[in-house]
Amino acid sequence: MIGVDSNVIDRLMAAQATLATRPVDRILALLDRVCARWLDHADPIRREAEERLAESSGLAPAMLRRGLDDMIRRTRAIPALLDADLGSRYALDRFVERASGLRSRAFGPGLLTCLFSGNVPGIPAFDIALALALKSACLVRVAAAEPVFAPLFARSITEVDAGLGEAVHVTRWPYDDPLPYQRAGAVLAYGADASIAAIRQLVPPEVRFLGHGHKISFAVVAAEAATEQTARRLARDVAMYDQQGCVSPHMAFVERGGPLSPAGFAEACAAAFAQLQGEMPRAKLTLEEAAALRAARDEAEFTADAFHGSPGDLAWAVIHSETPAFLPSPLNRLLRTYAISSLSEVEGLVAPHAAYLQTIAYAGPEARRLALAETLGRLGASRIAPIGQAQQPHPLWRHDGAPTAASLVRWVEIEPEEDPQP
Amino acid sequence: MSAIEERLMRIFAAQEPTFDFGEVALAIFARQYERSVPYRRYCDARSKSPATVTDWREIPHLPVTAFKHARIYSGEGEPAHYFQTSGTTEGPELRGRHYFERLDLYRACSRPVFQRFVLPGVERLPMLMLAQSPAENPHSSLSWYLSQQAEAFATESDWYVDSNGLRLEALAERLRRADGPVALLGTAFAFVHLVDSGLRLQLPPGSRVMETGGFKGKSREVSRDELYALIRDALGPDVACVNQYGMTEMSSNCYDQTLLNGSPRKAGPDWVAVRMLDPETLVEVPPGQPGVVAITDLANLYSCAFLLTADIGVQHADGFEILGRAPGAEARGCSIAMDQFLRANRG
Repeated sequence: MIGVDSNVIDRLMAAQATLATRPVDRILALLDRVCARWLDHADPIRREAEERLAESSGLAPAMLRRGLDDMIRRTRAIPALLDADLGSRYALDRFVERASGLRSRAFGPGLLTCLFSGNVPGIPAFDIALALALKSACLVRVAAAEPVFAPLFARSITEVDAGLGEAVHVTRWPYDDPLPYQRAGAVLAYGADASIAAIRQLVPPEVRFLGHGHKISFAVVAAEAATEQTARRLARDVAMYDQQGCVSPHMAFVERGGPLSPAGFAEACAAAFAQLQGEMPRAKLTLEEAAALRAARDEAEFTADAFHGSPGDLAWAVIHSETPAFLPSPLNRLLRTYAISSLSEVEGLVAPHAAYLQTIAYAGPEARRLALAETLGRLGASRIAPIGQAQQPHPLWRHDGAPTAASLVRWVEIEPEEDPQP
Repeated sequence: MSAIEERLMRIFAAQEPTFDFGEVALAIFARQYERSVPYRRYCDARSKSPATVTDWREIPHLPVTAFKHARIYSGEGEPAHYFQTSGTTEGPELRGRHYFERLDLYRACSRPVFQRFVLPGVERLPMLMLAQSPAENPHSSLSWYLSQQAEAFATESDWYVDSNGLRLEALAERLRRADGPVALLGTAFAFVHLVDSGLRLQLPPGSRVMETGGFKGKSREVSRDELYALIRDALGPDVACVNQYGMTEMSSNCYDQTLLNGSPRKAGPDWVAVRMLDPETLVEVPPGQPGVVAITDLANLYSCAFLLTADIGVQHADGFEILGRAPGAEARGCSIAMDQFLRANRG
């Protein structure tokens, strides 16, 4: 399944021509059946995915099960997303009434070319389904590190509806082959900043490009919420996908004066990580990853105010400092906790890195959540999520601040005739 | 001199060719555990102490980063001297210090090794140092080390790096009038400057280059093979090149065995053990598999003899190979790992 030639794209475009004639509700109903299959843990394709993903990614089976459920639930909410993003999903079928007599119709990209990264299996479900919901074909490039999920998801679509399945093609191509971008209506890419920049260069200027590059997420714990329960929830957010997701918290700013001191909170996180290790052990590391973790832990043992680490291996670590800073984690379940005296300190700490901000996992009172969202949103954060839910973005979340479905469609409007002047 | 110092002096002088490495290592461990609070704390955190460790391979290796953040000293009284890391890898602000109670052990352990790996087949020869002199940089362990070799083995020597950089004209002039083999000794990066200068000459057979150190934080990085090819282009095909593997935190050094027996793999003296450890578990990996380089250098009597470096290496039957500094992990997707972040912010 290597490479793309123009025959592949011709076939996708032919399938799309048929797709364009189908009512959106029909497509959504079929996608819902696909999702239902994936949520059935006994379904053979779901079981195959779990087995093969555990093998190829090394991620803990319990984590994969939970992660796949999250991804499919998000995918299943696409009808609501279309209504929210486009005003009405039926704008994809016909002209719909808008305010002041305007009538609008939306067209999907025709061909959506997607390039996925290998950190979080299951992500392709959402984007592939969204392309189809927008009556568009989807050309998918899988990551070398995670080639398993997307072909299985495509197969499940074909099994539910062969015509729908014909509009999806999963493969790999040398990223600098220009063909997959030239006939696309939109290109969507996940990955490192350098990869995103390289792909952007290859996409013709008239083709829409949506790149999700480097992001850093972190947690903010208001004093009121500095409890063992919050620590357990945070540890889960960090452990999921071994911290490789862009929504995975790297560090936690913990306010002083709560039931647990910031140092006590760090200790509670350590205990929670230790407990999680039984339920969802961390994947095997590459030499580079292990060396990076080792170096960060070594440094911390001589510089941190408190260091907690799994004994005998690098399974998890919590590095606590009473002096706040902004230093990302080497990932793979290493959490930095920083004590702060007031939530207002966070703004100054993260402001120099505004371009990287994404998910802020927050625990604390509602009133303070709003103030934090206002300041960090202004800086560039695109999501304030409860600690414990960092890994389950709301289906209506505008990923990195841009509307998900609305960024992919093109609109045509019919303007009303004004009353002729006498 | 204490009994352990006298014993080490005998070992360095090859007067105890069959000494029991493990026994000496355990004795030094007991001494350093007792005298160095940061090291003792590090061992205690791993539930290792002289009371529980019976095999020297179980002695905890102190990460070399500790030398930046703590005073790692297990000598008697105040140290006579310290050497300081150059700070090129971590930025200028944080430098590690290696303290010495006295320098005679250091001197005694350095010379026979240098002679064995860099000077086989020659007694004395002119030494041209591509490094700063000890007067100019009194806390550089390389400068001090080179000065010790010059004192012992040089017919004449001079220093060709000063605070303005490489003294290229003076060096070229000296090289042009070489009428017998010469040794050029210094930092890898100084040799890059030399070959970049466009100098072209043919040094007499038997001439040799010993270079050490990396390129991090410098304007240009070249591979070792590339550097050696460029050196031969500049100084003639008869020049032999040897890499020294050492660091400020060590007292002893390891070298390529090129001049000794033709093998480019590295070896060190009998009082140094180099082992590759799995970074996850710190268990030794089998030969042929890469791991983090852990060094036991018995000559490190006044600091810590058991070091864990940030280098990746492989052990082979005929010596070991350094694959380089652990490059720093990258995230697998759109998150960013610490090292990537630091590189991006530096760049």
